[in-house]
Amino acid sequence: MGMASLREWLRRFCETVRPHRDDSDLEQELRLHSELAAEEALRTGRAPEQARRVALIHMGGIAQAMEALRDQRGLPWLDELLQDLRFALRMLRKHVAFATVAIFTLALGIGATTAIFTLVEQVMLRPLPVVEPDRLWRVGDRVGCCYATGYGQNEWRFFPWEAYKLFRTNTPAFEELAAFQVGSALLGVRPQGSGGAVMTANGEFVSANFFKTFGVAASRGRLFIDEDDQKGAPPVAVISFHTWQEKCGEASSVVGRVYQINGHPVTIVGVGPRGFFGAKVADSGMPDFWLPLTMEPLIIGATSRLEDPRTAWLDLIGRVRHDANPRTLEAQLQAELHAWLASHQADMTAEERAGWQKQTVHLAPGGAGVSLMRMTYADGLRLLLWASFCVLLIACANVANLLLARGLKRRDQIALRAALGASHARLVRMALVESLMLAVSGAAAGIVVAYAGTSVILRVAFGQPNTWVPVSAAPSTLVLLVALGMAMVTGVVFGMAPAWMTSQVDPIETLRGVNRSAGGRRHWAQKTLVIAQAAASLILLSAAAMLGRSLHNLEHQDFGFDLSGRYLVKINTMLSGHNREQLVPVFTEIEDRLRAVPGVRRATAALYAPMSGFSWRHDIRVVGKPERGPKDDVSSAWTRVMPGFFETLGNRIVTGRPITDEDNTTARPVAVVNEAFAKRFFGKENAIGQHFGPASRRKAGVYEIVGVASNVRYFADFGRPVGPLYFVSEAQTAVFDEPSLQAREVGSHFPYSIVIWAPGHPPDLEEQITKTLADFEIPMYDVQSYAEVIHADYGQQNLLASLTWLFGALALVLAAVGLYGVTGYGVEQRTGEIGVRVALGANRGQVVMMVLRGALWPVGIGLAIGIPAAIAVGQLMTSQLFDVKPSDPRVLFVATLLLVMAALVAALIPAHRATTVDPMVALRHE
Amino acid sequence: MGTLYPGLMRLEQRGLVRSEWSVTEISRKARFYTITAAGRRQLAAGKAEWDRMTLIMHTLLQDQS
Repeated sequence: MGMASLREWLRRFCETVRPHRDDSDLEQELRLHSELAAEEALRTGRAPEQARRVALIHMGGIAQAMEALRDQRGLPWLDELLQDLRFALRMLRKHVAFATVAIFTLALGIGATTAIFTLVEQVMLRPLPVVEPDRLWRVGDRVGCCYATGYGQNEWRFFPWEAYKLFRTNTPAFEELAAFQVGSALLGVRPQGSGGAVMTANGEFVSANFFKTFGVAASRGRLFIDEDDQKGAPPVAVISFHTWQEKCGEASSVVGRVYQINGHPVTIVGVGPRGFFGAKVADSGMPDFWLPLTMEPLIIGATSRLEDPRTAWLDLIGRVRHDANPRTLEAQLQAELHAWLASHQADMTAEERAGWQKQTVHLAPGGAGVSLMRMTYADGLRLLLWASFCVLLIACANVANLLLARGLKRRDQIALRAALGASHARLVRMALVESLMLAVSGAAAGIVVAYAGTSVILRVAFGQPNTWVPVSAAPSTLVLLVALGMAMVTGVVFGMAPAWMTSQVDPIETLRGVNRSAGGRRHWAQKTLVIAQAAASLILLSAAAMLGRSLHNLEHQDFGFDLSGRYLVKINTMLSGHNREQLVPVFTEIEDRLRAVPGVRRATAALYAPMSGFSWRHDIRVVGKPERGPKDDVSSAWTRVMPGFFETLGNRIVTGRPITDEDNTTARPVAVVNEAFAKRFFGKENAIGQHFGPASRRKAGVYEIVGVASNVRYFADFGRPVGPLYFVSEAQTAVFDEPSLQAREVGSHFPYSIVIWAPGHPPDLEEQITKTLADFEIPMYDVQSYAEVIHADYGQQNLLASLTWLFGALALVLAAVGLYGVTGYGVEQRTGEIGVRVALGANRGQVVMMVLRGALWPVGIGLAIGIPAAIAVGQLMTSQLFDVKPSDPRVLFVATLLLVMAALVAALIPAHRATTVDPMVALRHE
Repeated sequence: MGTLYPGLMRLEQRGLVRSEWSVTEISRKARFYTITAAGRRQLAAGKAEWDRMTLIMHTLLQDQS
């Protein structure tokens, strides 16, 4: 194609939009031409009439020539497209009600899907907002909480500081290798010199090159330099941009200010980059402050893990060099791990020594960071995405039905067009352009719906004060593109069939004025859509019913104690400034004061109480039992309690005795175990008097069992039976050789929970508790009744069930509206027939039955397809379900009942309208 | 006419001819088409191509006989 034809194309393109010469101008030229030809003919001596005829034949008709000229002037296809667009717009404007219903329906469908996809994109797909995230690799490929002890992780995912330093020096394939703590450190923060209350915040200990590894720069002040991460360096911290914005109002004066963090003066040297939230994506504990690793002993104190080679508490992410091969790198890291393990053979347990050569480490892509959110929410999000697709499908079916019905009404118009020479292709395209326009408008409205919906979801899920998640409702470009793509696809899907069917009009038949032919195919298309809608709604409703049932079961399961009248107070004694020796007297006094509140029967502190969200766990050994095999699960949860704990909670002691005031420093360390513990480790033997402990064999028998308590559920893990748990005394401290065990032994003395038994439900309970704890300077988070605690524990399941119900309700309403539309249209079409029937003696009941039968049999088929499909979907959902069978008749009954009720209502209205048909009017109409 | 005018229009769109409304010597309104410089070049190129083609054909046909 030469320049000339390119130029022609451009001219034609421009002329399509804005013609250079209008039609009358062209026509004038043609007319003049034909006149000249006629004159010419006259001159050659023909009769005027004949001359004109010759000229006309010669010119082949002005109209045809004009058509050819017009085609040459612009680009015909573009011209026609613009025509179609203008026509579609005019049609939509003319039928506002139709357009509104269609766009609203699509907005709900596309909005629901886009809202969920906004979350999916951020939680599942988006990389960290850092430089070249695809060059980041993570050492270890599993996500978890919160640290690991010993040399036997098997597949290593967390690392001690010592191993990190070794990797960092010996692995040149890493441009930088950063370490950051797993989980977060609770900090008590207050500005230096102010007497204000201590604010709680999340800290994260990171290596000095943490920010450098991600290639990010400070937005104020500076980030860490190597000198900050040296022992004895002046304590410094970097505040996250988000926290700076929320808590400090973006004040630049924060940089350089000194804060008391856990009682130690720390200088804030800088503010993190905007949008940077660290390398973890979690739904709680996102860091407010970053602190150098070497500050950990200072800030954490006795339970410091920095120097202990047995405690793996760091996640590692490195930036690899451009030419590095991940596979070679992985092999090298594995070799380095083995070399490091080899140097620790001396302090390994016998079992670790046997297995250290089998330890492995994997390299995994680290561009998305360490996403706990992905792990937690993946299943739920996937389910919601499917649910929203169902809603979208139903919405599409509705719009398709609307278009079909309208296509029937427009049949004569279309027949006229066909008769005037419009091609099938053109008619189909016209209808498609219209449906695409609807879809794009629907998508635009849907994006607004999605933004609102996502905002609400985020507020409900993570709206608690002091919780921040790195997820926002604002749609990204990808989300917008997907929404638009969805609109295009749905536009074609719901527009294609109606468009094709409308174009299949036989002009003769229609123009004959017969608007009575029912159009069997169309009839079928409409019914099929209703069947699909009914089936999809049923699946969604039954999924919602199953999740709702599961949530109900979770919240009403047997927790092993009576929830009513019991309250949980969440505190942080670590931040109070009390030392360990003061804790027993302090809490004895607190308990006495709380017990004096009218309506309160008992109050007891514990390291953590049931369902409080905490979990401490050890592998244990029992004296006199054989060493465990590599596959045996010998782990047990444990907690530390004040005397009176079991009475306060209402936890029955099955045999032996509870922990009492006598179990203090002067007595031997004792433990009470739960029934699950006794059963797992002693079977039918008597557990009382047995010795066990978390230490290696030499000191295995540190605790003597004095009692067995009935099982109480402590963790919101679902579906699993209550596992082993033991209780030790707040007033006793065992002595261990291993520093990591010793650190935990000491750390566990700081209670995080107070359980209150207040059957009188005193109205001023929270006020009294707040006042009492303030007197002892113990930071308190909240007071909740146990029913509220349980509800919050299953918040995610609750949200999942609620959203599925919402989608189910949406689907049901849309399907009902669809059925109503189809039935109403059917009645309208059959007015004449109904008139004849009534004239021949049919009564109201027979007419109603006729309409209902016609409306409900597709719903019946929908049910027949939907019920087995719902059961199948339930099978796929079992990981989300607690104590609910997919074929649970109650669930299916509820879903079916809802659907049938909605269908009845939707069909009864037009059925009723059918009975009002006056036979005289109907027949005269014929 | 259905061929002539679209052809003229195509030439104009390619910038090979120019047209405008004017009046003939017998005072009739008419649209005048003028060849442009680019048109002249295109004509020359086309003519050369044509000459070459006829020459080839001529030579070929002579060889045959």
